[in-house]
Amino acid sequence: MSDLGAELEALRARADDALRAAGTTEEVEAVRHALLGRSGELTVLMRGLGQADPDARPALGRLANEIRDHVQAALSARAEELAVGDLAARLQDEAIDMSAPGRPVRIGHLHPVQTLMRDLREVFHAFGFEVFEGPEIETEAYNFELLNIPPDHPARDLWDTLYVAEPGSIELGQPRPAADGTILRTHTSPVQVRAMQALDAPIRVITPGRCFRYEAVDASHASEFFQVEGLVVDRDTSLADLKGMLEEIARALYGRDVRTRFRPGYYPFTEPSVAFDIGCLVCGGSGCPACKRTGWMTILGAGMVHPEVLRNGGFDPEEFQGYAFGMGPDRMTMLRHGIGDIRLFFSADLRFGRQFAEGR
Amino acid sequence: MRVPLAWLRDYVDVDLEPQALADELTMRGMEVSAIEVAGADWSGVVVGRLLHVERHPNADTLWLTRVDVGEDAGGELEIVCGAQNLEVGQLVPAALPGAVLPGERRIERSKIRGVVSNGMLCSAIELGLGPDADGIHILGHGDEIAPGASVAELVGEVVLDVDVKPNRGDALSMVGLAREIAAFTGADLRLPSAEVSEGDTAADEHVSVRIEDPELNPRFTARWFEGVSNGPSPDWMQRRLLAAGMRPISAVVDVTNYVMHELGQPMHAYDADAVPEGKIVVRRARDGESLETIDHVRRTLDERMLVIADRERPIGLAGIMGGASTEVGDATSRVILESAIFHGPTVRNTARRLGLRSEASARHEKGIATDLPRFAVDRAAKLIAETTGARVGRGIVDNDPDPRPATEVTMGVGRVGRLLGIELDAERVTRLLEPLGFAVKAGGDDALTVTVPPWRLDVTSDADLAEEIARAHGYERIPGRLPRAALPAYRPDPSEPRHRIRRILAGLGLDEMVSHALIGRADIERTGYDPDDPELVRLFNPLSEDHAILRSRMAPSLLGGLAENARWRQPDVRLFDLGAIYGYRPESPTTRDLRSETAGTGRYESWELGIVLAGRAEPASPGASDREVDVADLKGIIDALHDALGAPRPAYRAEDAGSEHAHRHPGRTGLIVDAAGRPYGSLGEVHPRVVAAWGVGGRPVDASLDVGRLLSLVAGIGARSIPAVQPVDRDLAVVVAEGTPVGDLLRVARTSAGPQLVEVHLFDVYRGEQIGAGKVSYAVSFRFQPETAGDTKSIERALNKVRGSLRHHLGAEIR
Repeated sequence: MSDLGAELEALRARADDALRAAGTTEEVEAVRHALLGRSGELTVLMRGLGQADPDARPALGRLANEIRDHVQAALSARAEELAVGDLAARLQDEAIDMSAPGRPVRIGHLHPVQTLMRDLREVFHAFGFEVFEGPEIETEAYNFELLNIPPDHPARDLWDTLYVAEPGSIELGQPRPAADGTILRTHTSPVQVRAMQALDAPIRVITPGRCFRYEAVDASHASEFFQVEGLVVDRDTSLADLKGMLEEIARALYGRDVRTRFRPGYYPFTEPSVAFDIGCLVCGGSGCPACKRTGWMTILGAGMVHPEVLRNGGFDPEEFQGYAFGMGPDRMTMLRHGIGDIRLFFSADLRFGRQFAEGR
Repeated sequence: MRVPLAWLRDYVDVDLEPQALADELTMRGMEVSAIEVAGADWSGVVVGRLLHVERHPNADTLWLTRVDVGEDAGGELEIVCGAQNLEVGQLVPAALPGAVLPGERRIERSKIRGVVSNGMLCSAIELGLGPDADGIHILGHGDEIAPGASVAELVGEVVLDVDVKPNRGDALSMVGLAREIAAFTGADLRLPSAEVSEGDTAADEHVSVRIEDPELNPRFTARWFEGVSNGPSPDWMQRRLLAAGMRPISAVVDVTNYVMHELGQPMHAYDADAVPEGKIVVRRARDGESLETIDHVRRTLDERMLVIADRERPIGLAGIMGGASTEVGDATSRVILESAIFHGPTVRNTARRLGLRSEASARHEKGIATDLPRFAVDRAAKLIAETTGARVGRGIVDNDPDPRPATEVTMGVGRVGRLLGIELDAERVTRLLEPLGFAVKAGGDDALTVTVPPWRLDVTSDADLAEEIARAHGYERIPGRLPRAALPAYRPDPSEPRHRIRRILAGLGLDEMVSHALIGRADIERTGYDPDDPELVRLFNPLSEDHAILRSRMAPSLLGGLAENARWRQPDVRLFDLGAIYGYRPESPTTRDLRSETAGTGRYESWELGIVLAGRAEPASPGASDREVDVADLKGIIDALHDALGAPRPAYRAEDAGSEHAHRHPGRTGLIVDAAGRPYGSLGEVHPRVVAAWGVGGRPVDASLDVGRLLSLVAGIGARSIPAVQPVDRDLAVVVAEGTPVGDLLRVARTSAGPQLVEVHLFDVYRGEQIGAGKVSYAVSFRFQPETAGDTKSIERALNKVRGSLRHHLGAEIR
């Protein structure tokens, strides 16, 4: 064997020793550089092959290639070996306290009455109802007269209605009701007439919105509250259709098993009039203080639109008929969540509002 | 109306249990709103049988008893008792541990002189059943009652609270309700006797009535009595009045109240000797005239009120309350009894103005049948004679004794059937209406002519008859029909976009509040605005000063929300309120997109979104910053809202905090403007004085946006294709003079960068020696999306344009 051959063999042994001694990936890199770098030992030796005896050259070339492949493989193997150990050590170092709390992300909450009103809209959308809105500052004409509530009707009492003051009259110390008869609407029923005046038959609308009453505020009465009114006008929509619709609505809101009661009621703007009850949600119908021992809770007032009201909306009562209903989302929300005091709905207290998660 | 069942049974046989009767009445439109057991204001008291009685081992005056209270209530119990009327075998009321007696007296298991007593045996007074306090109330001796039965159900009187609808004045009485019950159960109605045995003295020799305005007093009947001995009324009458909610006074007065409840006719008795010559005048009061009513309050009257007067002075308020000068008392021996019909609206308005609503006025308001006064005056005369020994004067003084023709209404059978959704024919209609007192006869073709009974003043049209038919048929038997076709054309829901805003804000961590639209002067002043602003909409009759003005901006509501939370030490608050604001601008048409023209001229209401943030910017957590929220946080939320809605982000423009922004820090107030520079909202930090006035602390920030305008900015989504080419990022350091709005800098950069620009954002701000005093360096990052890979040339051209524009418009130096 030539000198060169012996040098190559010695190199192989040195390389193996060096790699065995290398304890980190950096040291492995240094070995690679010392052997295979531009002026590395193996690189230099292989460059010297040209000067070797031509007869011995092919054998030496084979040996050099074999040693290069060996060194490369050994380098990779050692680097891989060390990387696995490094990673394991790092991962061990990086352990955290998995019982620690998460970094807080704020979520907001919707108002429970607004959520209930959205749910109502979804139910009514499914039955083909559209939303139609009217103003909160109304005229006495729309709020009362056009709804067949004559001036002498008890609902017209000053004590129930909040009247807008004539501009300037309070400032002058002579308060008087606005000359143009504006008031804050006491119910959403005036929107019935507005909808009839604006739309052609068939009409199928709900009219959610805020209402105002001159009412002493306590746990179950509020001077500001919400209503959702419904109106259907068509040629042959009957009391039977009203009943079917209300039963379906009750099932949608309170479950398929809800007990319902469709009974006579009284409103000046409907004839016949209807009151609609569900079985008491507290006692299930056996009688308790919540239902005053009657077993029922009234959730809705309704009826066939009074012929006068149809006329006022521009429909001939000989040709068209329809029904209307109204409900109180505030009270329905109280029932839904077991809320005992209606005043909480106008409170910004986050301890109240943050209870109402979207999924509930 | 309180209806004692025992009283009702005088006029109709009722076989139903109270609950069933209540359901039946409710289903017929006479809503029973509560079932009470009068005189049984307790719980947990059951019937017990005395099994054994012996002396208490440690007390001479006490007894130790063993009582069987029935299996369900605990079997045999030892109870200590102090009464002296105990005998084995007696049935007695036993209050078990947990029972609550009148006066909130709670019964517990207790030790009495060393012996455990498992409850208490009750006397009549302890149960509120009567005045007897001396012994245990003995319920019986034999087997007639089983131990364990509820004593309340045994001795209490069932009273139904019936909510008679305003159009059914005829049912506002025992007989009226009995008539309804008779109609739907088929039982007979028994009218009370009104047979009067008259004396020889003619009433009209002692009483005369002159009616000045028959419109206001269509009917006045009167009877005259002598030899009245007016003591207390009989026990049975007193008990019934008490159960019905009336206080017994004297025999004559009690009879008038009794007949009012029995028949629905309000009545009044005058001491005849206090009415000179018995001459009665029904007239309007004169302005300034006064009357002392029997409650001994002197009331000033005006000419809108109707009075009963003698020749000179008023002696009663028609239909509401009598006068003190003619009040019937113990010494009264001669009486004039009035039974009349007064104009409902006049009675109502008078009662309202004087704050004097009564059982009588409620009945006049709802209307009284023409023939009722005469029957009632006879019924009362009979009872007065029986209870006071009075002699009844001969004849009735009556201004209008002739009977009225009955009302007739024509109805179409087919039309009513179509309205109700049930099959009807003439025979069926007749069968349904006749028990209610209607007479039906054929009127040709499909038509029927229906004669209305005199008491049914509410039935005047075919729609009213439709309701009667529905009631008689039974609402429960109307078939429920599911919605059928014929849907209206689709129109979008105007409230849905507002709900989208709510959900987005909740997703961004804000809590929704719904605040009052009506606020007070103090709220406006505390927020820094003029409560006398002529553009505010005020109420004529507010409930209180705190709710007297419709809000014209969101700030008072938002600050109120902060203040409420501050009171409960809730410092980190992020709230929004989406509701209406209101105003009065008669002259200038406002620039707002009005939600609706409201009634009258110049008033508007508009949807507004208010947002307020206070407290820490980040929730407390290890490594979180302690920074307080600021205007930039608020802008971040507003930008995110726009992004989520699909509206272009707004620009923010500094604004002088003039009178329009008085609640904000003058150096930290801005407008929210759209691409065309039109403002649609404002934002800023709350003024320290306003913060202090609301007592909230910290440095809250608030914003307000016109919801209609915001939603009008939402654009449709025209999707772009996504290029398969890497984007190119470049940064510029832009040095400008201090005071140059960075918003302008970004706007210039954005508008000059050409179509390949995807995004510009500010990522650093530097002030310091390297750039010199009075200068600021803004580090701005640009991302471009070239059309083809490796096209850096066009991007360099775009950046050069940006540099040029910044130099030209802002005098910027680019690094």
